Amino acid sequence: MTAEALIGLIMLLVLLGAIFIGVPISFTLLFLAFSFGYWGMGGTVFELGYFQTIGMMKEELLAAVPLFIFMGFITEQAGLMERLFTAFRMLLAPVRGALFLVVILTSTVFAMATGIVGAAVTVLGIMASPIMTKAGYDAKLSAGTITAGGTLGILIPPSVMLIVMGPVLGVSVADLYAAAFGPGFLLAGVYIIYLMGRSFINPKLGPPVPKDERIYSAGYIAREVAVGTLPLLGLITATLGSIIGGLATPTEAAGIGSVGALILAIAYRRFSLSGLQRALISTMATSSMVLLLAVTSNIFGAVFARLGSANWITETMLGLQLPPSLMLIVVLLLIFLLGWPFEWPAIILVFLPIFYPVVKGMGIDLIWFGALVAVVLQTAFLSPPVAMSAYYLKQVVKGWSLGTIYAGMFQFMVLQVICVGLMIAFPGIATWFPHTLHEASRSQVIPEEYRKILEQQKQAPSLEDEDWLTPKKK
Amino acid sequence: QTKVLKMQATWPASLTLYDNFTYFVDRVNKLSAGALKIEAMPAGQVVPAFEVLDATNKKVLDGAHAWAGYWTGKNKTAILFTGGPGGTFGMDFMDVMGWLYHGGGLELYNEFYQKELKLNLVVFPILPAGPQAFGWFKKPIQTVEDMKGMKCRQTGMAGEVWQALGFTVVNMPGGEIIPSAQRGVIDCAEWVGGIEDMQLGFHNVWKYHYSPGLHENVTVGELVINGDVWKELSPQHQEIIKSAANETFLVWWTKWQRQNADALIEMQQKHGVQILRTPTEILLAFIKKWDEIAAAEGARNPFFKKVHDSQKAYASAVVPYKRSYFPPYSFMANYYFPTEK
Amino acid sequence: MAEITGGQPPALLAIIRMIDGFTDRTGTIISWLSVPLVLAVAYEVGARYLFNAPTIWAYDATYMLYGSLFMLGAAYALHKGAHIRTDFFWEKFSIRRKGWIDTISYLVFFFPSLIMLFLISWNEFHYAWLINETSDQTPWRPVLWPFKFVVPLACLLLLVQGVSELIKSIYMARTGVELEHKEKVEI
Ligand code: NA
Ligand code: NA
Repeated sequence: MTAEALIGLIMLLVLLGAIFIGVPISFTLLFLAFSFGYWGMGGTVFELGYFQTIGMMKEELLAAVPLFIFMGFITEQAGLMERLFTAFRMLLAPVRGALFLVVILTSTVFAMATGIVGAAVTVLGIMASPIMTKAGYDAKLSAGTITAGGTLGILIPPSVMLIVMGPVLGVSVADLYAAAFGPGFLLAGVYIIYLMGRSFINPKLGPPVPKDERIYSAGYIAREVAVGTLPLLGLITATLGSIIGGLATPTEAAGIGSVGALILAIAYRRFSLSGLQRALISTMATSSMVLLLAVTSNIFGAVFARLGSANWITETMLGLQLPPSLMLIVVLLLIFLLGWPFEWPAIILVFLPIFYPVVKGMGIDLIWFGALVAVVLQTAFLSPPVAMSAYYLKQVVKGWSLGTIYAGMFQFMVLQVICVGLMIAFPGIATWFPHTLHEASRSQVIPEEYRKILEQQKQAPSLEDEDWLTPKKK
Repeated sequence: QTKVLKMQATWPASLTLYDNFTYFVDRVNKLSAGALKIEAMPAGQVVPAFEVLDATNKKVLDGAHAWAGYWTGKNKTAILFTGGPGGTFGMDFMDVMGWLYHGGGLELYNEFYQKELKLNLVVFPILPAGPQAFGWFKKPIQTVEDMKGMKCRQTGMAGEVWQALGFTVVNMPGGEIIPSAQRGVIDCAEWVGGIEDMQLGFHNVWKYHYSPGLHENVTVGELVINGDVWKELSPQHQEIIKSAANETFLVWWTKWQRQNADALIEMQQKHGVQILRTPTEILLAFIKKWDEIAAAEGARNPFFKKVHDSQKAYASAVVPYKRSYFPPYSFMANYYFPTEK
Repeated sequence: MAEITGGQPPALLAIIRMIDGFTDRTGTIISWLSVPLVLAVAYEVGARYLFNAPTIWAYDATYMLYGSLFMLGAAYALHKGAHIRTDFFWEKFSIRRKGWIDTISYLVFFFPSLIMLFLISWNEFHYAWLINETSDQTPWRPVLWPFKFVVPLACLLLLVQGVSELIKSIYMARTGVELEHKEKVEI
């Protein structure tokens, strides 16, 4: 190891210490990159900081981040989630553990309209928790259901996390989106099996909706379900459908989704100028937070690389001669452990680039790997004591203690780990959909009308032939 | 005492263009018996790909492995130092290198960076990344009209020419091209050609591959080195770099032709790709439009005109002369390997 | 939102109010950059599929608006405490200790780094202005200096808000009283 590479490693250790104390990560990254970079490479480190900044500002793909965030805020304001929740509740009322099922279904569908976690947990906390408490649902299991369901928003596309991850892994965001559906639905399914199973064994945990609160008019239920779900499903189809199915880039789809959400908000008479202003401000603050961290962690990473420390780590890890499957588990375990104290942007942007060359060097499918990382990071949202979704829930549900929420989340963390195991054992869960899309375009035949044109073209003289036969003056 | 220079490329390590860089690095290391070591880094490792020129100027990097066509936003003259569309006035690779070494081109190249753009750099040609194919299409094309309304991924000056011809040019990062193609966001794309296109997976999406193109039939990549770093090198190390760059150019150029020949065979035989000649009409339309754009740029950019005129003077001596001494490539090619007609 | 509690020197309070007010107002204006961003992106798709005439400007407009939005919005995010910190231990710290940690991070981490970034980015903006640099991303080729000006401007806005945050931190460190409580922002 060179002296410079050692400086880089010291810088990384100081970073770990500093952010554990709780200083704002962005500015710490910037400062450490500048000071250690100055030590190792001189004054040019400041220029490096600038080039990384302006380079990130030119990433058109990342414009999808504010756009999807905006779309999420507007969808939330339009009250689409409440409608969805009410509709599912009417429909599923007689089932044991109905409200668990309603929360998971609502959040799974809503996850396809929003790219972040906070909105879903907050709204479900406000709506579902009083009803669940009143119906005598188990508090721990209810809190776990809301937090776990809410975190699906960061995994199931659109996902701001996957947009940020794409360029880091050198994988197309559209492919990552396609790969995230399988694991996302698998998780929702596993949650439901777990919740239904427990409610079935012990009906006290989640009784059906009380008879006097049920609605028995099938026509009314059908109408509510239609009004509550169809517009949102339309919005989701337009947005995700245009990415997966063939019309737009992620950025463009996010733009269409934003306009669609605005139209729905107007249609539901929930649009107001002050609401728009609130959404705009929140969009700006949230995107600034994620993207400024992206900028500063890129600067940090660039200094780390420029000092030669990144290469050293890669070579050392590869030098361990672990078989790929074991190395994969080691890397995922490290990411999981890092996910405890750190938020996902820091892990994707600061630490993932360090592991990336190792993973790539071992020939591991990067789309599959991306999906695995996404599920592991989503788990970090549910890992007490530092778990964002617990805080969101606590903010809106004062009646549940953090201890109760943690106890509920912990059960779902176990389910997450089972799903990661399934994904490792059966990579197809993630890779089947993107590979099917690739295969569809590979196996195309040349139509008859094209064959004729091709024959003609093969007969036609080229410029070169003309030149050779009859040299012309220009 | 080992001297270490840190250089970054504008391409990821996965491209064979990057092999040109590592070949150079290896030659410098061996020629200097390890006294001069160049540390090669792929795009984005220290600065984003398209910031390498400014970064080398500011000595964030000691040098960069790049392509001048990326700097046309600073001054469109940059495209001429790659050889330029049409090779500029019909020059082939040998002629463009001749212009650089015997026609005052390299002096103009350095003057461009140092005086016009006020960057503290020296530059050498190193990477002959051509000829490049015209591109990949979702259906056969016959006329310029056929291409109107198609959305093509194309960048830089070539994109500007296509846009002027009425086509729709879109830009996107390399990794997004194939998914966009699969999803119909684009109908055609130009990347590099040959093996690079196969690595990206074009043959899995589209079956119609047209060549030649005139946008980068000659295209020369560059090795830029920070001016202070260059001055601090011993004269011997400077000579090693110059020689290694020239050797890299030659060895890699020949390798490139071979690997692309193999790639074309594989595309046709294994993947059922249709390798088609670009219709003459389209090539002519391209070169006419390029001449118009170049004339317009020359009228408002004196340095562009100076370089363009210098190329024209060199080409007007060499290109017609070569026609009388060089047997047409197609003459012997058709004699020994006639195409089925 | 900031609840300014009573009992602190009026001069400092006036400075904090002035700066926070400035950042609130500029932040509100900057947040509207999302509107042309949404419109530009959506128009591009519409133009492509409905009129078969994609624009020449949407690509450049998109990244320029997005880049400006998150950079210029950073000062507002700072004001609202939106920049991520790890609360492994943070939540357990006393207000006084939080104040000390923040005071040191602002003085040592924040100001020097941003002043350097400001100076460097100003030079780069100036250079782009001198050579009249244009974008080479699309044939539209808009001039780049206004976009490059965003970086020094964002640094300046951050530095201004940083002064207010520094005063609040020093106050917290010395008195143990939180001048304003910052809520978590969702991600
Ligand atoms: Na989502
Ligand atoms: Na966590």
